[in-house]
Amino acid sequence: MNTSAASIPSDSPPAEKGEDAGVRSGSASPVVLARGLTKVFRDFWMRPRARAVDAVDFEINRGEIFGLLGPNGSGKSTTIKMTLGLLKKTSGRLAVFGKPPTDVSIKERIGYLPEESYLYRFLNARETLDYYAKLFRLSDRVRRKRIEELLEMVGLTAVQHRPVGEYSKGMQRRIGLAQALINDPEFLILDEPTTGLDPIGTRQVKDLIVELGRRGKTILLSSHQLSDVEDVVDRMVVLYGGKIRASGTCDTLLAETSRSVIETEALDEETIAELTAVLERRAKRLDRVSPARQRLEDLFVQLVEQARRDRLSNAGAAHGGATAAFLRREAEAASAGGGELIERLIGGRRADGGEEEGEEMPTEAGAEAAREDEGAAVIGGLMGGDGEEGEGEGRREAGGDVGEADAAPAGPDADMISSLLGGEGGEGGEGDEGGEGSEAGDGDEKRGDERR
Amino acid sequence: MSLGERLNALGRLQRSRRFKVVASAVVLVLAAAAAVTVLYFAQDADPELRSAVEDAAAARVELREASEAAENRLTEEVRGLLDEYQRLEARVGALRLERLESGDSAVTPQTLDWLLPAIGVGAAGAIAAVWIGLSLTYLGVAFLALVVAAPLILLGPGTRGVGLLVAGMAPLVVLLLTLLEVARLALSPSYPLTAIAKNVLNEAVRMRISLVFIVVLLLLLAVIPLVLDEDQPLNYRVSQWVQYGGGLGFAVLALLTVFFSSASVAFEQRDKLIWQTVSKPVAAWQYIAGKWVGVMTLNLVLLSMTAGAIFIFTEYLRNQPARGEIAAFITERGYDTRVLPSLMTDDRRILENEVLVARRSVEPTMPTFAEAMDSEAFQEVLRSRVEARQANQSGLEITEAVREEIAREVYDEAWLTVLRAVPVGAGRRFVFEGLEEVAEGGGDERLTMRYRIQAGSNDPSAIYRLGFRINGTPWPQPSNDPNATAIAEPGVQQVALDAMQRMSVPARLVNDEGVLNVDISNIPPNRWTLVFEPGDLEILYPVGGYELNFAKAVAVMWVKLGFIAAIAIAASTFLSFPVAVLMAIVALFAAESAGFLSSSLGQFRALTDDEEIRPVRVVVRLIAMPIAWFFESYASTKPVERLTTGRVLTWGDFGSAVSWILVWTGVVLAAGVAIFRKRELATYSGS
Repeated sequence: MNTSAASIPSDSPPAEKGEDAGVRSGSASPVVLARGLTKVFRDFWMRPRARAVDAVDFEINRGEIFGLLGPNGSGKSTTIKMTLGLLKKTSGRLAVFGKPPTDVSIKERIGYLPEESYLYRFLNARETLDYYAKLFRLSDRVRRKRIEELLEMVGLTAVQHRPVGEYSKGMQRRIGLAQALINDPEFLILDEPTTGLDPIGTRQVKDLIVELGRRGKTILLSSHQLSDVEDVVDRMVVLYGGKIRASGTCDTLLAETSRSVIETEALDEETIAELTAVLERRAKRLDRVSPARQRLEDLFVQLVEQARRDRLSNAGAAHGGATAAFLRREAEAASAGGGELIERLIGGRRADGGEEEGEEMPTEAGAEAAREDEGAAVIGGLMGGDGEEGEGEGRREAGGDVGEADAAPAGPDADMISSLLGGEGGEGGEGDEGGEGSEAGDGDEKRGDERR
Repeated sequence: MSLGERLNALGRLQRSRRFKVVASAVVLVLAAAAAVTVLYFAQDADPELRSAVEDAAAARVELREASEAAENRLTEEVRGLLDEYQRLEARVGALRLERLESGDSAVTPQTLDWLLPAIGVGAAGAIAAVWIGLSLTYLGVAFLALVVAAPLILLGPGTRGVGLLVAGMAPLVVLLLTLLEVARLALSPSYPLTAIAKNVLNEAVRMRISLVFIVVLLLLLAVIPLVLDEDQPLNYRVSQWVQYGGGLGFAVLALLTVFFSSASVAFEQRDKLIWQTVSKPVAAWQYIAGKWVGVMTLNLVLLSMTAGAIFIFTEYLRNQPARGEIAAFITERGYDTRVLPSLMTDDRRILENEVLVARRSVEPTMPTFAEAMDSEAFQEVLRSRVEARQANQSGLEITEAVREEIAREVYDEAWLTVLRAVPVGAGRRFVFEGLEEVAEGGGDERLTMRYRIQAGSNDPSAIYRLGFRINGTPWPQPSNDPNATAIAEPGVQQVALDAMQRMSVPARLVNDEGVLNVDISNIPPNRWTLVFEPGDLEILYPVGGYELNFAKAVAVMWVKLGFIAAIAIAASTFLSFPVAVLMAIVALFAAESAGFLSSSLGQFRALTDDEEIRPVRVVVRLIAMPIAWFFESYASTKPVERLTTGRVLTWGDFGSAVSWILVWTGVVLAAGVAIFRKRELATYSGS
């Protein structure tokens, strides 16, 4: 997926923002367009009480996952509510699918998961989905099929006949997510989607978000769980006091150009000393060498997966199943033609004739294997043993559409890295110069796979 | 598995297609077996019993024809046929008993006439219950009722009432569940309005706020029959039942409508449930209309259940013995009054002709204002009133407008009252017009004259003597009817003051022009002038049956509930729950009292006799007049009162009432939609 190349200061002229906003080449008008969007809450006497959103400009393009970040009271929820027509803007312009947010027709294409699960306590899960499906005028057959698939997907099949009022918070979030997807929306608004979910559920939601993003859905994600946002979004804005303080991709916003991180296999003391000496010759300092750590989330997921394999029991909601078939429908249609090539490039392992991507939500074992492949490819590229061809291969398998990109990462430290590895990087370094643009463009693809 | 989960599982089982198919097959097999068994025994019916039944049926037909030919009079021929019919009926009964005691078949081909269709209807009903998905529920309710009620009834008189209460609630619960399921099926289409309406229905039966009212309604309908005094005349008990069942039932439903309608909309906003609805493609009008349709559907279900209970129990009471009867429609002398209506006891006659009937009311024709102005006596009174006014207000110029205003006052406040008064020793003629259809019918059809007199201080111990002549004929006259009240003096009645009286008048006394002239005289030694207030003197005659009247009355009640629901829903779009309830209850109260308000405003003047303005009264009138006007169509039709007094709700009244109420309902709902569209639903100012 294409993304923007650089962060955009909030006071930049709109034209520049538009150019740099990373509109997908050949894409239609943005799904959401906000210009000078302002919301002022007034009291009973119409006196201004709070300026919740202050002259905000942003666009959400088709097919991207857009993050909305900010502390409490920054205007995130207000912005979302204005997008849905639950609040009326005070001034500025706001268009969703080119129409005012209060237009009923655009709601056909939107799915919304609010911050809390506002559900009818007296309905059970099936009745809840049935009710919301009828609001979309879905036929009986389609409705029944989707309900079955969604209940399976969110792991509530076994408890579908219990009133929602008896559900735990996590179960209510699941059914809330299911109702947001019942109409197979083009534009999905998720406000704190992982609240109340355990790490497994959180992982599955993130996987679902990424998968939906790959299927061309446009997603607006608002969350306090910064690590969750970082893992999945293409672009984001950070709000504070109703204003945009920063916007751009994760790479552009989070990149710390003054430092470099190198991951290697385990190093002995002698090697570390050599590295330190090399760096000192370059007037650089080695700040830290420590064993790699997996994330706590990864450990948790491993343990649960193991327990599942051992068939240990667990009351309450089951963990989710495969992504609902109707949500995967676009991928199946695409793979019938030229989309198959793209899917192979994205899916990596599918080129080996393995399982089709999307058959089930990615498991930890599968993700682990993917990371191993990627790791081997990167190291292989760094070693430069096979030259450009090997490095290029490695990067494609990592999930990036590399195009003409060559092996090693671009940038001023390429020579250094090459010298660390015994001078072989010089050859690899020469081949590195051309790939910056497309690598940055592919950064998101890689991120989605690597950080899982 | 908890009890609730087991019940839910059973519920899902009875809704499964496989269960429905199997259960239907079982029902069909059982019905076929029953039919074959009956047919088998019918083949053995002996000729003597068969012949006796045929003879009795023929005698009944002959008796009815003879009675009609004799204009329902008990002639010698009719009496003879009646005796013969009774003898043949007794013989049939004896033969059946004899067969049963000896173990032989008592089933005759005549029995098949009703037994086989009954088996068919029963089977059809059972299959319908299976396919609605409530067969096990019905069995469960019946079993529970039997288990709880039977011991209570059998234990003794102390617990018998409670047992009957429980037993009475069982069919009501079954009826309620059936109607709810049918309503849910009707709201199944995949469309926002029906989806929201169906959700409202689910909310009603699963949330406490409405369940309380439903249970109260069920209890009321089950308890009222138990508190009817069996020593009272049957017609009085039936009137009481219809009045309490209909009136209290409507009151409970009206309160349910207010609370539930307000809660359904206000709580969704408070709890933010509405966010997930309006973020779907649901227009504001669909949301509001869906809520209203849901409440109306609930009201339709509950009102149908109430109406069904009232109707069924009324029919049950109708088939109980009235005063002077040994069995329903059988007099103490053994006459079957279904065959000979002229022999009905007073209690039975009032019940059949004045309560369970639809009658039109005609009041005496009063002169219009223009006609009064042409009267010399009126002009005399007007002159003296004008002079008095001039004396009170020196400088008052008597223009035509002022004169007309004074004339209107005289007409409204005094003239009509004078025309309704009968001084002591004098008489007055009251003309009842528009009785052409009665004149055409003729014969011995009975009209009812209802009247109530007021005199002096209405001393409850006073008895007044009134003379009556109807189109020149003194009435009432003595009759041969052994059950009729004895008449000491033709054309004279002795009546108490301020008590409603009734007099039966034969249709043949109406002249060919459809006019009934009733001359009433105030016979000395009565002390005071007697007066008939408006509505206290009328002629009533039957124009239709009770059943259709009942259906129209229920329909008007339903439409009225719709109006109340619209007010509650519209209020809840912008008010919190308690405030919306308060507003809706005030509206309900105003609507129910609008009739009284309208009539009172006619007398509530903002000007004193000296033409001074009373500011408070001006303000009160300014507030009260729009309220009375707005709710006039709601208040003008009182369906329960019509039923209890046996008055017809004409199609004109029905159409007018329903149309105007629906128009105002639409206006209120439209206002609710307009408010809802302007609302910012994500800001909520309530608690």
